[in-house]
Amino acid sequence: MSAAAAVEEPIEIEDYEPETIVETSQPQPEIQQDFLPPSVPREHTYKSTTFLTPIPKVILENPKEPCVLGVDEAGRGPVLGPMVYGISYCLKNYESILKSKYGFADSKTLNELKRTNLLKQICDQEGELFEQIGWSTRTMTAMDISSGMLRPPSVGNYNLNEQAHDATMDLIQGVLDQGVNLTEIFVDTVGPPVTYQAKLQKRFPNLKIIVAKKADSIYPIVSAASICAKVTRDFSLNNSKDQLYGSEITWGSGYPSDPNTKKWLNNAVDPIFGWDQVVRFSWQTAKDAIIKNDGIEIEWEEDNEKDDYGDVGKLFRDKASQGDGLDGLPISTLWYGRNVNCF
Amino acid sequence: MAEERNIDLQSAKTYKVNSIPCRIRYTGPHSSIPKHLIKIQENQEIITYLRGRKLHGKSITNIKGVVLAKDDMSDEIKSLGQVNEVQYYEREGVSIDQVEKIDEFVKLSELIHG
Repeated sequence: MSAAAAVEEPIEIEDYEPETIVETSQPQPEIQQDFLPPSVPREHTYKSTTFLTPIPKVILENPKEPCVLGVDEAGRGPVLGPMVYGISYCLKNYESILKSKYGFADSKTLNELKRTNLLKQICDQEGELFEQIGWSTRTMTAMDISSGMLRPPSVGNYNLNEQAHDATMDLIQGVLDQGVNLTEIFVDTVGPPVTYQAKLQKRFPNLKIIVAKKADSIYPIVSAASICAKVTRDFSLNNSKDQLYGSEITWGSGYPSDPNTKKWLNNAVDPIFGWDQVVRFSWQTAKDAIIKNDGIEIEWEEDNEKDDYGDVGKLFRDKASQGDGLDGLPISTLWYGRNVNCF
Repeated sequence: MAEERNIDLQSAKTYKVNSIPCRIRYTGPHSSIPKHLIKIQENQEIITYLRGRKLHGKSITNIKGVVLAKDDMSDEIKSLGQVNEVQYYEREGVSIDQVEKIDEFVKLSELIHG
């Protein structure tokens, strides 16, 4: 792959999701009927949406008590449906109870029923969790993800990492704007943690920020965030499917590696348009499926510039802003101030 | 070349043209356009998506056009219908101010030839 191509597509998504678990089973219909998370848009939409709960009762009554906040994401790797960022927060001295009493743990160890029930409990106005946990989600639609990544070269692409970071920062800001006394933030990341932590710390200088891989298995509040995100994503995807194609079709989990997803993608190609707005056209899997199924070639302005490195300065700036510049090195170069890449 | 032909411009069918910033390697009818070409009115613009790209456009209605087709057998040119609207699209982040210039051009043209 040439350097120019690497700039256009900074992340090979399929390779970038080492933690992906493939679930071929569909969400249980009986779960769906009596519970729909408030964070899920009632109607399929092309537009990204944000959901934010009011400040929970216990935190309102103890406004000076420090609060911890967790951040996690669901649906980064799939070719279908939205990517959801979730945050949840609670009093710092309540966090351990999340794990001991309710079993908030590594989301990979919780099955779908368990996850859905936990979110249901958080949403149950009569329950303890409702009074203790505040949460928020940002549902980034497939169309917003794709169009950001596929912006024309004259505008510059908005890569998945930047989209993810911006969503996270907006969610944290949303809670701060409510007046919650946040002191510590724990962030789960699949990418390089060092530069991301520095970026968040710069944006929120008064908060203690910890970015870690697999944070959802270490910090119960991140586990709660991961459940908010994951359940929202699963219900959103299923809703879109039912509303666009009917409940009888199967498209699997949406991950490119899921055979049901692959089958659906390959069978649903329209020669000109490809698919509806649920598919992430920027994924290599989607691009390949269009070609494989005799889709008509559509050429865009950038397709003629593949072999051109373009503005070399921009290439470096892009690289630096992606946050990959430092983490590739075995040691931190933060000692020396700004990396030379940034100039 | 400049042979005069009588073309029937009164054909009842009207077409809307979508001018989009890409090259589609296909010429001909396509039945799924109404299903897939979703247009969203946002502020003063029309938003649509094609192959994951976001396009924004404006409508030009004060123009007239004709859709012509040449009959391969008789070499005769027939009018298939009229164009009463052009929707001009650009990529996300690229200005569509050219639309205003089309307006200007039409006005100027009317002044000269009117």
